[in-house]
Amino acid sequence: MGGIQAAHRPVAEALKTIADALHHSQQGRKAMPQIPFHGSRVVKQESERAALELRIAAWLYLEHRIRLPKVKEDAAMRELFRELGRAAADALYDLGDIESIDFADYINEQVKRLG
Amino acid sequence: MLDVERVRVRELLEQAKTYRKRGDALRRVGRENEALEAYRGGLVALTDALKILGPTKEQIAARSPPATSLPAELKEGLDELVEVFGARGGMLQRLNLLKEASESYSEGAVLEQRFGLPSTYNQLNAVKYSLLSGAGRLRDFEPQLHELAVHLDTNLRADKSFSDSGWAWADLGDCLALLGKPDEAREAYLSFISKAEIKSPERTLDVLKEIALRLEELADPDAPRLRAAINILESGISTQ
Repeated sequence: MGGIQAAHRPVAEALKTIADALHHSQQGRKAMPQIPFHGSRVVKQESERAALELRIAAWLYLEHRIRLPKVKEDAAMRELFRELGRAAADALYDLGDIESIDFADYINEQVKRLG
Repeated sequence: MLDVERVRVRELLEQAKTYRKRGDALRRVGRENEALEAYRGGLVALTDALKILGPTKEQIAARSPPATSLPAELKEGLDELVEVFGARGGMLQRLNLLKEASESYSEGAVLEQRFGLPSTYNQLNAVKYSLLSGAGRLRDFEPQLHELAVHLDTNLRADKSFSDSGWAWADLGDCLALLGKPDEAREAYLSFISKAEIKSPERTLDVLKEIALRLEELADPDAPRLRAAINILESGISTQ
């Protein structure tokens, strides 16, 4: 008998999928929002913000639960860490308050450290 | 272009975007020196991307339009080149290097025009930065703006995925506003606001304000068109 599908997706990937559905990190380049009622500023603001918080949660999970040495060993996880980090940092810079800028700088440093 | 080069170009474009956003954030909180450092970082990334795309640029120069007749790999390279020229223009403009910004947009504009690409980002920015540098009055650019508006309108009607892009609607709104057609511009701006990310209209507004100030300084008789466009965009954002 071959392998069976995992009962659940890895946590960081699952969070990223939900975040992408709310606001895709490449949306600015390619397409329009996928959420209903995207014409409403409030709805769009909330979905972009929720996507950011989910990406931060996923990134912190990789950083503190999986830990960087293990992330570094696995090419797919490394890419996920980098992708989540960049999307989160970009959105934090857009928020523009000092705490968000500092946190975005921290994320970028950690992503750079990983290589 | 090799796959590894394509991946590297995308990576450099993403890096440049992060530098740009960092620079914009730092500039907003008054940390100007750090903002300039971030923009310079972005410029290095985009210059590296252009170097990688050098051989692709030469191959494209030797080909005849339209873009649809290009092999898929070259078409992809053409899109990347146009995007890099546009992003580079934006970075140079933030560094207040207007002449260099205008040159970068012009290089991208030549490709957009020659290959009949749906996007007009570089062409419209080439006009905007000509206005900012005082190279002419708004009226001098009307034929070009009219041509761009027709081109955008045609492609927005024909191409669903192009019509999904908020930026294409922003470009159409800008063209119509600069041509002194506020009602039509309003429709386009409303589509832009609805389709774009939350921060995007603010950036468009900043550029329009910059051009309005410049035209007023130069006593351009059509400067009020810009004020009308700013009002439309501001009211569109506030009523969303």
